[in-house]
This record gives sequence, structure tokens and C-alpha cells, in this order.
Amino acid sequence: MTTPARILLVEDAPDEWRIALESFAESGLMDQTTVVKDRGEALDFLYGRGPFRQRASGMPAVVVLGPTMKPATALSTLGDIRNDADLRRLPVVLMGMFDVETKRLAYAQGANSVVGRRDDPKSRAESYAVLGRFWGWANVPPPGCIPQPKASRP
Amino acid sequence: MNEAAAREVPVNVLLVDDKTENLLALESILEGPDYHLVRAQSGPDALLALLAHDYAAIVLDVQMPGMSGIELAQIIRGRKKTQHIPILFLTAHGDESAIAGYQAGAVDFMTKPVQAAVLRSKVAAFSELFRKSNALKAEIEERRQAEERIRQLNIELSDRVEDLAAANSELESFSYTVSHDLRAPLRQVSGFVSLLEESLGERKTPPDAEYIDLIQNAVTRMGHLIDDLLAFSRVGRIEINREIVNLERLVEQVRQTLAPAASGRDIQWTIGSLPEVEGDPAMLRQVVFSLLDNALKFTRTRSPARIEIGARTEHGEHVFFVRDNGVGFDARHADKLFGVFQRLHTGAEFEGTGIGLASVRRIVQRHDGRSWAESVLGEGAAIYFSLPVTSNCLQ
Amino acid sequence: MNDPIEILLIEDDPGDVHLALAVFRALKIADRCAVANDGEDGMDFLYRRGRFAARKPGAPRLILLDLKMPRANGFDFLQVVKKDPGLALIPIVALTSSREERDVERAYDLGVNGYVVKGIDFSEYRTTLRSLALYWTGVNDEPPAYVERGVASLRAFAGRQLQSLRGNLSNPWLWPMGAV
Repeated sequence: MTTPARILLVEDAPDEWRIALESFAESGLMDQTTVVKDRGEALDFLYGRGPFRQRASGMPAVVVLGPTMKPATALSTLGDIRNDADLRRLPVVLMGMFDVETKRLAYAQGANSVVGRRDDPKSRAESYAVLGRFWGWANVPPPGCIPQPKASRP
Repeated sequence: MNEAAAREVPVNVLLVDDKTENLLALESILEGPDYHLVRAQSGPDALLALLAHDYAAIVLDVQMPGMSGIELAQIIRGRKKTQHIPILFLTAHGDESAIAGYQAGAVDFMTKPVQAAVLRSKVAAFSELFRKSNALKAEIEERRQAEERIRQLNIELSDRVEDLAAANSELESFSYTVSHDLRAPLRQVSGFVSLLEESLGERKTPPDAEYIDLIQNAVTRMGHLIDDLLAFSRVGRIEINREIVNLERLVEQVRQTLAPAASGRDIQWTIGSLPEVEGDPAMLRQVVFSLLDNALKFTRTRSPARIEIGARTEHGEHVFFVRDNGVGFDARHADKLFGVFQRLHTGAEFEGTGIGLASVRRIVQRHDGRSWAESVLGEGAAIYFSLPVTSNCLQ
Repeated sequence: MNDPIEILLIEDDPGDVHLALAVFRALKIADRCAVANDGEDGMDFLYRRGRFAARKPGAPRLILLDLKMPRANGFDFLQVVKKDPGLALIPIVALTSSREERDVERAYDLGVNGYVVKGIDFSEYRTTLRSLALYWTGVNDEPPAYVERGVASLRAFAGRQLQSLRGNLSNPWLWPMGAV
């Protein structure tokens, strides 16, 4: 609870988040990832309420809405974030198999990225690893998010 | 102009009578240092005299050939410049009705023969009135001028504020340019040297490798300089975001950040109890970071290195210090330490850009505090800074 | 030349263009990268006008956008492109020297999908650019079909019709624009 979460993964299926965490571990992001299981928990986490009242301060650098989330729930979670003055700039990535209309909606509602689900576990792990390296290390999140750690210079 | 000074200046009194002997009589009554007597023997003469000067009073014979005293008085009243001058009519007995219409305002009359004492006192009264109103006018004018000066000063001040704001925004766009435009060529130097190194491949000689390393080091150093310079300029211009800051927690966080620099070394930390202060968390973090970073750096040759962090409260301020047993510096240069680009060690001994403590001083100043340093060369140094105790975070 | 363009790099500094292309060459995606010299030129590319009037239709999978440029800068570019329904869905990642908070904030407010800082150290820059390219051209799904201005709704309608005919198997991104 003390390590600040740079990645917030919203994912219900243990198999799925295990793959995700193992892949994130490759780039040193495992202990900077917090997994919550649904939309309600995700919002509790972001607002720092309920079970997350004591969480370390700072917003995650990316919110990943996992592939087992229903597209409609993923879209409404995205909407919750985009409609909140304090959260609206948070980078949000939607994962899963989406039809073109859903994908269009997701982008139109301000999803930063949409990642299709790969069935093969190996390529799935690979896509988590690439995702972690971009959102966890390369991308500069908006102000208020936990910044990329920079060597020993403040 | 004060009243005493005004009294010394004779005031003008206009005497109007067609008969010379009458004028002489009036003059002899009013003669003295208080008045400058001007005579006129007809209406037109009087009007001419009135054009040239301002008068405290007009002594006017009603019965004159040509333009009568009454007609003259009408003209005088009709002119803006002269309408306020008091008129003292001299009338023959029984003529009082002729001036009935002039009863109002600064108009008076006397019947002939003129009684000297009465005339003197009447003219004296009018003169006094004139002097007082002049003094008042002068005072009003003085006040108007003072107000005008204040207005001018205000205009100048707001011009200065505008200049300052313009200079500030120029500085801001300057640092923006520095951050963007100076980095690009550096990145390209680093990039093309790397690409060159790769394309040399097997053909790279040991001196080549050394030169490449030197270039990369120079690039890194320049990069740090740019970063520090930017941070320094930012410290001066961004707004202070005041919050209650727990310094103990802050020191702990900074120590964690600096853990890589401390790893593998024997360091004895002594951390006293630290108060809560009011200030900008990010800026104060920069202060603590600089001081601990310096302490770690300058104790590198010591084993064990001893670093002590503490605070005391005195005379309404919290005084913090970071003391180490490092290489220290010559106390004569204690003040140079806080200047931009001032370094007391060579780059070969201890790396650094010479901006850290300048930023510390600027941040502390912006928090209404002070900063100073003590040291004995070869034995260690202590850097102090103070922050005012505020009501929001009294211990 | 015949490969579809995957990345549009909008950058005015030839040195930086050179470095980016060197990284992309190593990843074998340099052939599918087009370069525009500023925001104006970038819009010409997207709208297929000016020196890009004759280019093949189709939108890039990713736009890499420098922020400080002459003529139309990155913010100007975002203001136009993110408001155009035909282009708004193309992912845009800011690629800039500026780490200044106000630039980061403004870029996100104008709808960038990501924000990447070009560091000074080349190996760091290369790592960053590599993970950026891998993510946006390999992992991120292509945005739904690019539709040209003016006929957007018609094309969208035709797209839905075709979509239902072909089922979910085919990817509309791959359809040649002329065919839709």
C-alpha cells in the first residue's frame, strides 16, 4: 500500500492479471502496479476512498481497463474518468476484442489507446510487456500523475 | 505660500474717481506698505487697469461723468475675471438707493465725506479676505500639484510593473527556448556520435573510444547544466504553493531517492526531530535534495561518512542544518557558495554545476528565510537555512 | 514507397528527423514513415494537398508530433486535427524536448494520446522511441477506418454495410480507401 501505483490495472480474471504482472515485471513495473477487479474498485482507488483511503498519493500514470471487462463497462468507466475534473487527463487504455463501433466510441470518448486481445498467451504477455514499457516508462503522464522515476536528479 | 509671507506682499487696490483731489485724499488715507494703490480717473481707465492686474478691492466713486460708477460696476460684475472683486461705492448723501441692487455679495458703500478710519478698516477687511482666498488658492494648487505628482508616480509605478511583467514573461520564453533549442543540438551530438561509433564497429581504435566517451560525458554535463539552469530560473518565477510540509517525512523521501548514491558506503545518519513548516512542498524538496546530495558527495572520501540533520526554533524561526564530516571548504568563501555557478571544488574532484545552493538560497529567500554555511577546510561543513514559524504550524 | 504509411513524423529539425529515422531503420519501419516539416505540412499530408496532393489515400497509424515548430506548431496542429471527425481518431503522440508542465498539460487537453520527451542522452532517446514505435505500430489497435471529409457519413454507412457483410474477421483498416 505504500508503493505508489504507476499502473492501475482493472482486471477480474486472476489468469489474466498474472500474465500482466509477470510481463510488467520484466521492465521493473510489477511492484508499481495495483490491480483492482472492477469499475467500482477502480473509482474507489482513483478517488482514494473506501479500502484505498490510505493509498500513497498521486494518480497512476496509466489506467488499463483489462480484457475481461465488458466493453460497455469499460466504456462507462472511461466516461467516469473523462467527466471528472480531477481525473479527465488520466491516460486510459482499453484492452479487449471490440467491434469497430465500440472502438470508434472508445476513441471518440477519449481513450488514449485501444489494444486488441491476443488469444495466444505468449503474444498476450508480449503485448503487456510492450504496453508497460511505453506507458510505464516512455510516456510522460499529465501533471498530478506519478512521474517517471528519473535517476538521482529531482 | 503661508499666511505670514502673504501678508508681506502688498495687495492691489484700485481707486476710481474723476477728481484728482479725491484720489489724492483716498491715497493719503490708504497709504502704507500693505497696499499697492492704483488710480483711475474714468470708467475706461479703470477697466484698462483691471485688465492688467488682480485687485483686492475697488474703491469707486458713483458719480462720474461719462461712464458712471454704477455702469462701471455692471461691467466689472459682468466679466468673469473681475466679477469677484469687492467694490466699495462712495456715494453722495441721498444716493444710496442707486446702489440698492448691489447689496448682495462683496459690495459695500460709504457716504461722502469719507471717514478715514472706516475706509481703512473696510479696505483692510477686503484685503484680508483677498489674501486669505489667495492663500487658500495657493494651497489648493499645491495640493493639486501633489496629487498630480502622486498620479504621475502611480503611472510610473504601473509602467514599472508592466515592464517587470514583460521582463518576466521574456525570461519565461527565454528559459523555454533554452530548454527546447539548446537540448536539440546536444541530443544530436550524442546521437550522431553513437551512430558514428556503431558504424565504426570493428575499426574503432582505443583513442576513438576514449574520444567518444569524452564527447558523451561533455554532452551529459551540458545536459545537467541546462536542467539546473532551468530549475534555477523556475524557482524564481513560479508561484509558491504554500502547504504544511512535514520535514521529517520529506527528508525520509529524499533519502530514499538518494539511496543509489549511498549504496555500498558506510554512512552514519543522525536525524533529529524536525518540525512541520509552511511552504511549497516541491521547492522544499529541492532544498533538502540539494543539501543531502551535497553532503553525500562531499563525504565520498570519508568512511564512515557522518551526516547530521537537525533543527532548532529560535527568535520566531526554524533553523535547519545539514552537517557532514566531508572535505569542507575554506570559510572565507562561505558566501560565494550560494552564487550561481560558484564552485569551490574542481569538476575532477567533485562533479556538479554550481547551481544547487544558488537554488537553495533563492527558494529559502522566497519563503522569507535565510541561508548560510559554516565549514573548516578538511573537517566538514554545515549548511543552514531558516524558515519563519507561521501560525498555521506552531509546534 | 509502396508500403502504406504507418508513422507520420512531424518535425522541423532535420537533425532530429535523421535520428528518429535511424532508430526506425533499425526497427525496419523507416520505409513506412513519412516526414512533414511543420504543422502546416503535416495537415497538407493528412488532407492530401500541397506537396502531398498526389499521395496514396489512407491515414497513418500514428502521428509523432513535435510541439515547437515554425508556421503551425504542434498545438495549432492538434487544434485542427483533433476537431476534425475524419482525423480525430488517429493516435497522436507528442515528441518534444519540453518537459514543462504547462506544455504537457496543454497537449493532453488538446487530445494527444501520449507525450514523450526527447532526452539528450541518445541511448535513452533510442529506448524511448523504440518502445513508442513498438507499442503504437504493434500493440495498439488501428483506429477505426479513416474517412475523408465531406463524405464521412456516407462512407461510415457504407463501412457498416460492408462490415456486416464481411463479418468481424476482416479489418476495415486494411481495406483500400477507394473500395469503400
